[in-house]
Amino acid sequence: MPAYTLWSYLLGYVIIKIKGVRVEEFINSACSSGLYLWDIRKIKRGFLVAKMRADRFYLVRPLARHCDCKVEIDKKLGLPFLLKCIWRRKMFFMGTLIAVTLIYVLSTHIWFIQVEGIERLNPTRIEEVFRDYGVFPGVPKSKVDLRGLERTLVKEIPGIAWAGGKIRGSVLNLQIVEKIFPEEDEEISKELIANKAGLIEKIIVFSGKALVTHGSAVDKGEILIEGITDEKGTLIKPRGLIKGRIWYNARGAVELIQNYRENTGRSVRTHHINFKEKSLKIGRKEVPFAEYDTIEEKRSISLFGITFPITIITTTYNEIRDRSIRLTYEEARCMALRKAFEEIICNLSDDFELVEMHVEYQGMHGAREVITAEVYIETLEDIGVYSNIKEEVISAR
Amino acid sequence: MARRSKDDMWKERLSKAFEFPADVILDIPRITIEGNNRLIIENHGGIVEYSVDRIRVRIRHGESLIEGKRLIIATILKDQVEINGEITKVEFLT
Repeated sequence: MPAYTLWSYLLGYVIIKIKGVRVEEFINSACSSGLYLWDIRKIKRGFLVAKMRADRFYLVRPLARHCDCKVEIDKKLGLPFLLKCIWRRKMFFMGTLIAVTLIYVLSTHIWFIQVEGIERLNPTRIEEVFRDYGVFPGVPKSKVDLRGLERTLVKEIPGIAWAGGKIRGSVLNLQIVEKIFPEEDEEISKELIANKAGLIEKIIVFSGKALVTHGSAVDKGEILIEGITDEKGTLIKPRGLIKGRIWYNARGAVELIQNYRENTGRSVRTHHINFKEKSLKIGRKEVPFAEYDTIEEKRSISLFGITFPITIITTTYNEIRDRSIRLTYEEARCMALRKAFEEIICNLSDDFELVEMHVEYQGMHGAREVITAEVYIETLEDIGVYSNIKEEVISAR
Repeated sequence: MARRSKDDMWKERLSKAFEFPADVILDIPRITIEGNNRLIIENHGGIVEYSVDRIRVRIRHGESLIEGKRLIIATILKDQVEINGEITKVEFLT
């Protein structure tokens, strides 16, 4: 009977203990007199536990007396008893309620303001803008217009390129992107000079006076664009793009017969004992090789942490021999070309533009056959550098 | 239901003739068993004996014996008793 159970919960019910010999008779008389009992359980002989509605408990006493039973209340359950319990501990529940309300009220306010992305700007200036806009720790969230704040920040502070606000709980998080202004050179260079010798191919002057024209040959260190002074007497930095045609050539030579040394795998070991500058050879081995490498290994003798002034030197002699192989022409050409290229690549600037490349091979016969590869490369490169950084640029290249 | 009065005989005949349910006309108990853990007796005459593994319920012209494990009387009303637990046996004693 779930409906009745719910009803009895709302009205309150009790768990009663019934003790006596004639407990069955108590159940029968209870039900015939209209007292509703449920969940009757036998605990042991002559001892029952049952549930009943709390407001009918006055009916129990006469019935119990009639059946020679003892009835007592074990537990009081249900809503009325719960309310009574709450009433008894009202301060506790009130405190809980106040705490919950407080948390709720506090959570509708902004207590922390985080600003991210500031590197060069003055944080106090941003704080001022915040305060003027009415955003400070403790302001209700509903009064904060984030989009408006973002707009005001960008408008008020010229160094801000973009501002994006976000509210997470009681934290207002503001991301700021600063404007990056072009870096001003502290020392104004007077001139733009060539870092390589070449032929001027293209010349675009933004500011200053060009001293070279298209087609003129320049040497390394020659002035390309000169800075000019305006009416006020301030020097305007020379700026421009100068592309020069530059030629490189390098030569790589490879001998067809390549000599190298090889370990034969045979080795001999000798041991010496050194004691106070005196050397004692152990065994009478002679080195039987014509050519060899030697590896020396020194070991000091120590026992129980005491080092004796005796060292044992083990020398290993590895026999080696000279070998030579003859390269094919193809192999020799490849190696020569690579040698020549490696020489040029060191000198190229980062943004070179290849115009032309030409490779010439030559074979030389004589005592030693040699293959040479001569590489000619023509490139277009930006050759203009500022004179005040001339030294480091040239040394870096 | 051995001992039957003349009155009952007439009632039984009547219920058969008009196809009335016997528990309405006669005071015959209606016992419903749901699975082996719920048993409802309507038209009972009170509990005779109650223990954890054995319940005897008075019915018309005798008793009904219910045996099982962990038996509890879930509800008891004037005309209905519900027994929950692991029921193993239902028997009629006269």
